[in-house]
Amino acid sequence: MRVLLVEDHQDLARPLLRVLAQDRYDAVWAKNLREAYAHLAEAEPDLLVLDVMLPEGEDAGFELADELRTAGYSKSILFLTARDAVEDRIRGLDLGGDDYLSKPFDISEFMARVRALLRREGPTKNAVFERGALQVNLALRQVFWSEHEVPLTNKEFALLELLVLQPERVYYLEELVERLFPQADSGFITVRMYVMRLRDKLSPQTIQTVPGGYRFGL
Amino acid sequence: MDFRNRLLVGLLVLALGTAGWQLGLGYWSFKDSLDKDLQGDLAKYMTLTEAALDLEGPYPTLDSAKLPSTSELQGRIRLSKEGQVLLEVGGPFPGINPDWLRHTRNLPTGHVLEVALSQRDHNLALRDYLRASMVSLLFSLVFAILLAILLRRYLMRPLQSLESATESLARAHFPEPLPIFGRDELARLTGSFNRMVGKLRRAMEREKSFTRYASHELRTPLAAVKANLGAARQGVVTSDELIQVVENNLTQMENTLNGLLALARGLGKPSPVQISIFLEELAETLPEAAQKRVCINAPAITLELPREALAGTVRNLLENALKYSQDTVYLTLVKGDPFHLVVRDFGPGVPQETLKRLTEPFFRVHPDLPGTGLGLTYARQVAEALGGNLELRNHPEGGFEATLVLGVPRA
Repeated sequence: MRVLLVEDHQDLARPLLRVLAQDRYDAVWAKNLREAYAHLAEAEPDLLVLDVMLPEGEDAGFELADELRTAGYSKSILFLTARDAVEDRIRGLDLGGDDYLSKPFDISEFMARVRALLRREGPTKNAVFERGALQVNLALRQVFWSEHEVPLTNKEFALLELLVLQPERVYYLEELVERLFPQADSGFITVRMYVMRLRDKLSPQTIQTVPGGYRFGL
Repeated sequence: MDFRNRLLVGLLVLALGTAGWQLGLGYWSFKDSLDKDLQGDLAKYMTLTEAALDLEGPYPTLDSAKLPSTSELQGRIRLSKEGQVLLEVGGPFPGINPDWLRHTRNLPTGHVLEVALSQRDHNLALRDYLRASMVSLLFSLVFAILLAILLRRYLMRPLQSLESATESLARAHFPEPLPIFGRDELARLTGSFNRMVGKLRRAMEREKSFTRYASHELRTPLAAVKANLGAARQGVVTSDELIQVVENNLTQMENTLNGLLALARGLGKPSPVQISIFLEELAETLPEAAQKRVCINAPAITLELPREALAGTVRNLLENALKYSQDTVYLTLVKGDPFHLVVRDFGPGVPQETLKRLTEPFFRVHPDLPGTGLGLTYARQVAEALGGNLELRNHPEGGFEATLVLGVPRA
């Protein structure tokens, strides 16, 4: 899951990026609008964490959200801001924000909201996903097969998470590359490699091959 | 009773009073002239009667040829002596009766001559007059009420809109500018009300923006410290990193708080300040490397100034110059009226389009560099409070120049 954090204060961005990375999210940081546009052009994030006051202006975050929604961005937006006035919250939510967290906040609350917003993307609303012998704890970022924990790398987990969040959906190879390995030179091969590894670690049926892509197979 | 109704009632009472007064005055003058006529007639009648009276004979007689017809005049005459009626003409002599006006005269012969004239017609005419006046008063009343209502509407229209606008202002909703009719006092009042609302709105917006920025500047470092603590607890931030973050952000919060407090505190009392010594002492509080780059050129004059506020201001200007340039910074006091304190550096200056925004609270040309964005706001506030101003410009020969114009008298 790709999370784009737009925050101009480095001392705040760093711990957020670290805990996001620890929980196996693909977290990228933009410290101003210019960098945010560059990252957005690269790959669409599953969640946009957006500071409202940016170097470009006191409402730059709101303006970016508005622009993205107008352009058709449909994934979640979490506003992260020092402005907690009711009218600011209303404005943020009306502009297409999905949640609003005012500074200062507790880092565990931040992570809980990130998880909740990402779960909202798919039909899987629970923090724990269970199907057959597979159990995925999306909050603790752990995977169990027949009640035994299976250690996964960050990218393996990210791929599995994407599939279980929308278990009925088919993901085309191009989309998986764009969402999981936007910077990879040979993305298709990388995705195939990760699919193989997951099938090895869990069971061959876990991921089903369909023409042009993959879907969850259990 | 509200103002409108008081005005309405006042107008009505005024209209009624005027109409009543006119009616009373008309009635009185009509009655007076009728009374005078009648009295005149009566006196004349008495004189004629007296002349027509013949008291020579054994019985008194009246020569009716010398009198106007009694039926025409509806006059009555009675002659009596020692309580005995001797002669009665025109009918029985009336007693005390409002329809009759009577006159009595004692004749030298001992006779009492009484004459009376009917004032029935006279009273009827007065009654008619009164009735007609009452009807006209009633019409006047109705007319006055209608007029008062119309007037009230016409006069109250601007007041009503002012009232509702003031009410909405009191509930902190800014009303739209009110339309101005005419050029009278109400129009002027409406105009100044509109201006007041405009000024209030701008002041509130400035205040809101200031609070937004202040809250951002204080909460962001707080959020950074809190997030780093949380991350450190999860083991993804080392204690060295945490200490560094806490140190940086505490300093930033402290600087912002100091800047905000300086803005809120005001100037303090002016005292005599010997400028050249003051500037030298100020430069000595800078770090050593910075001290070497400051070149002071000020005459030994003494001005009446608030020392702390001036020190804060000059220090802000000097620190900016030292931060954004590498070479010598010149600090010069130019004598004149008013005095100019000029801080000049030879750095890159600022983008021309940001010049006007430099003194806005929390505005920073380089948000990446440390700073609070409050220094120049404070400098401008101090300069303006001293009756001067702060002039900022990119020097035509390169570098940046900040001029503090000091509108203060020599001590």
